[in-house]
Amino acid sequence: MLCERCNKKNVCMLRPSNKMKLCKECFIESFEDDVHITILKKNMFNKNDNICIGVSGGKDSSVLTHILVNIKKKYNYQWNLFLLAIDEGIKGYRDDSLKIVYKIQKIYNLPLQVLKFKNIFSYTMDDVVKYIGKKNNCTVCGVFRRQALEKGALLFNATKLVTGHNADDLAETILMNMCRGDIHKLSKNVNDVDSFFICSPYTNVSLFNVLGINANQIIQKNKNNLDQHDNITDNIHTQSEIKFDCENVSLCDGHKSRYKKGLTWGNFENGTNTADTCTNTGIGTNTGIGTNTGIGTNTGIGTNTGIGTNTGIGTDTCNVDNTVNQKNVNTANFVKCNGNTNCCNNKEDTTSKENILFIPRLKPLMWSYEKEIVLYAFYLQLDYFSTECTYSPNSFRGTLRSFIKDIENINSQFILNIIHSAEFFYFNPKNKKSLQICIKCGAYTSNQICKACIIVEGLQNYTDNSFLYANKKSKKNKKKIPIEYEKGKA
Amino acid sequence: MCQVGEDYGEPAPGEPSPAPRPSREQKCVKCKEAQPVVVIRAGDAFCRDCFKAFYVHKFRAMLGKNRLIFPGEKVLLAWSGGPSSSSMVWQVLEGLSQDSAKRLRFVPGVIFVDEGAAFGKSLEERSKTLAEVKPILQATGLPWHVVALEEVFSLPPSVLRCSAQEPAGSEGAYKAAVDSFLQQQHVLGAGGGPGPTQGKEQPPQPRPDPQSLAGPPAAAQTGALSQLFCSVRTLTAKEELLQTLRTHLILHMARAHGYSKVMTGDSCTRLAIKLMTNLALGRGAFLAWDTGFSDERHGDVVVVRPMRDHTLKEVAFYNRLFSVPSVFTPAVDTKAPEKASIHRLMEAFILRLQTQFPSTVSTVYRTSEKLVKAPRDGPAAGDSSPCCLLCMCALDVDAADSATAFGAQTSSRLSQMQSSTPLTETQTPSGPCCSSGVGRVLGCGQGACRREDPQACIEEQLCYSCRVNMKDLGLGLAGDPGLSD
Repeated sequence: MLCERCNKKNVCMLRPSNKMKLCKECFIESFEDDVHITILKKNMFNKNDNICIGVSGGKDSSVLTHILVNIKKKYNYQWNLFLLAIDEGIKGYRDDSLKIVYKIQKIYNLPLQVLKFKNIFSYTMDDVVKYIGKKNNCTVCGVFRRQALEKGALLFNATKLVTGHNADDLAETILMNMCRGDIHKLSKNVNDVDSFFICSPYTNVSLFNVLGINANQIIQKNKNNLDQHDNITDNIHTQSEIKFDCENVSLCDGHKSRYKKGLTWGNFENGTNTADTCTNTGIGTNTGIGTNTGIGTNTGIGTNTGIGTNTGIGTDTCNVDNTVNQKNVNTANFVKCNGNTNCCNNKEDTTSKENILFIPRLKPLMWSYEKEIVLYAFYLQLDYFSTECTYSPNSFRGTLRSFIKDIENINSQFILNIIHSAEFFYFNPKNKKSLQICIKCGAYTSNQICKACIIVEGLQNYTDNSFLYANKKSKKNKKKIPIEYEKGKA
Repeated sequence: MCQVGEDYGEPAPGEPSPAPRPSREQKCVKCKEAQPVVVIRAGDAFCRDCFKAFYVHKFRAMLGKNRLIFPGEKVLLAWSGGPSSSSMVWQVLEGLSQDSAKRLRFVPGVIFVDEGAAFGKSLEERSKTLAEVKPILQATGLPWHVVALEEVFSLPPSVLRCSAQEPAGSEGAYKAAVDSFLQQQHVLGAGGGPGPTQGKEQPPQPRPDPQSLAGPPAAAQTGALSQLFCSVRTLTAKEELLQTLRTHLILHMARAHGYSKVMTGDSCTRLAIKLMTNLALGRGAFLAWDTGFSDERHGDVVVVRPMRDHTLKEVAFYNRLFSVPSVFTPAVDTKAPEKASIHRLMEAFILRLQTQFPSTVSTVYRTSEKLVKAPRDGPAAGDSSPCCLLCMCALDVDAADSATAFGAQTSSRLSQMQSSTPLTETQTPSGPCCSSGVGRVLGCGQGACRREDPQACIEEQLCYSCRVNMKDLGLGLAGDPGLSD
């Protein structure tokens, strides 16, 4: 029996999505074509995009990396690809999968960066589970991971962030949100460009120059020492020479001392921006976006002191000396920093404010079935790590995953049906929440404080698990009348 | 588990396990005096009278909150014999009786659709069912109709035409609407139609449908119907087809006999399952119409769901406690295994989830309440935007950048394989052979459309989910009512 596509070679498989009988090469080609069509239809990438690929070492991200590299070569796009991995700190799961990530980096020769939860949020997932138990921890992991991805993407100065979510994942999410009644997430249309999840707004190159986290340096270093497994914190620690563009010494002083401590989120102590005067979180900034720094602190470069007003570009609040106890002024103008105005702003960047500020999160594999991804990886002998997360069997999503598999057995078209349904949802537009900026860390959020900050706070002052549901309305306490059943009946 | 009332399409609940007897002095949650006999949700124990009041109140509140039923209006109750619709009919009867507070003031009729031919029941079985059904219908005292599903073949093609919609009135306009309606009735009432004040009086007509009295419908039609259903490849598509045909038939009967509203007995649980099933079938755009309180896409006849708030458990308890008569009629998926169709699978899934997370059904119900009907693009007239042929909803196929394109791609590839004639691309519905606009499908033979390829022409006029179903129909297309050339 000959392949239906090329009519030359023998059939070796039945394609799950459309039941075509194909040979191996035709399947690989048609799968890649489908992904390419997805990219084109959704206008995912522009020319010269800096694309940051979120890799976990699993099948989806390995396949995604491979396909993007191939497509780039085949059609000669001018993209720049970077790899970003997040270490949640789950023993026996993440540390193994990171080995695959390093392999991938070697094979494709792409710059890699690994961010750890421990450094960003000061908790690993294992710690978190010790606090909140084995249920409901997917929430925390998901929120943290997304924020970590966003922050990592910024370090690469990326313009797009891609992840390996496939059609099954999307269908699961939709059903899960429906079962949970999460209108807010459902009304973010899958199709809607406006509702791409948006990363923190400081994609300011000079910001990083000031802080010494220079994306180019990372890339350079990675190219030279592919074996060195660099963590961003290690990067800073080992860097003896920190390149500053800013002439404002006091500002830099604060940073230097912070570097001695290591790059931690949360409040800093012993710096010029001290804990009591700033609510400091953001990447390396002393105050992050939109945070109120209280009295007299500097909010760092390109950040503001109001909530949601400044978005990072072209604003500054540096005062002349930039020391503690000097009032910050949100001028929404260019910085009046002592010395170089270059340090705080990249003037060219202010032209198209919107474009720079948002890093859309894209999923090129979003219409590809999981089965086909596995087959693709199998045929091409791609390396990937295939063990489940140790905490996943108890999750709500787990029940939905098995349900989706059952649905797929009846007819594989149903998964695309679900995605199609979600694209055409229509909820009351008044309910749509607009994005604000987290007061603490500057990430985009639909409430005042982003969920990651809420979780970190909840863990720091741990009493019970209510902070996980902090944003939901509290249920009225229904007085329950206990009814005892007699033994042997009902 | 201990979900006593869960109805899986089996006979009306026979012997539910006895209500848990409290070991201590537990009183009814509401009146705090009588002994409770029934537990609805954890912790809500009701006595018999309070439960009845609670149940009836829900029904009335649902009707009253959405002020759609005008006094004196003719309303058709779609009765399938199952517990929910029986309960609904019972509620309506009780509401009409002279001694109830705030008497219901519309004029109901009952319709029963005999679907035996769709799943190959023999004539004797069907007449046995009819024999059970008729006494109940007669006992209601309302004008009743029994229709066989075969009559769907004799429907005029006009049923597929989307008639002009009445503009949705705002709240304040209710009274004005009622006034204008009554005026209309007065005008028509002189012409011999039933007046607005005839509550239980039987109008001289319509009698039970003469066809069902005269005996089973023509064998040819029965054969055609069973052939149609046999040619459907999957159980999912069968159920969808059955629903579509049944809806069209009921609507046609409603129009023929002057009913302006149809009430169906979908309960909360069933609607939650229906919502999720429709999600999996690709009907996300139409969820508000499929599961909302009112469904006015058919234009002049509005489908209303007053039992929306009642869970199946409450329905079953009520039927048991107050002896509501119902008839068991096996459906197309009775005793089908769990994996046979998406409907069965979703039902099992939701009910299983409900045992683990008891708030699942109510959460999904609340979500469905928040669904808002998407505004129609373009000017107000419903005729300007194309509607799906089968389900009458505005087309949701967007070839540009959605998953539909993928589905369409695969389908066009498939049909390319099957029929080697060059197809009009289903991906690009730009000026195809058939003019857009519903009701002109029969004119498909004109123009440049090739007769060998009616399938693609028809597909273009269908919404996404109807296209998906159509794929499973295959060669049975010719038997589809209104589409026969």
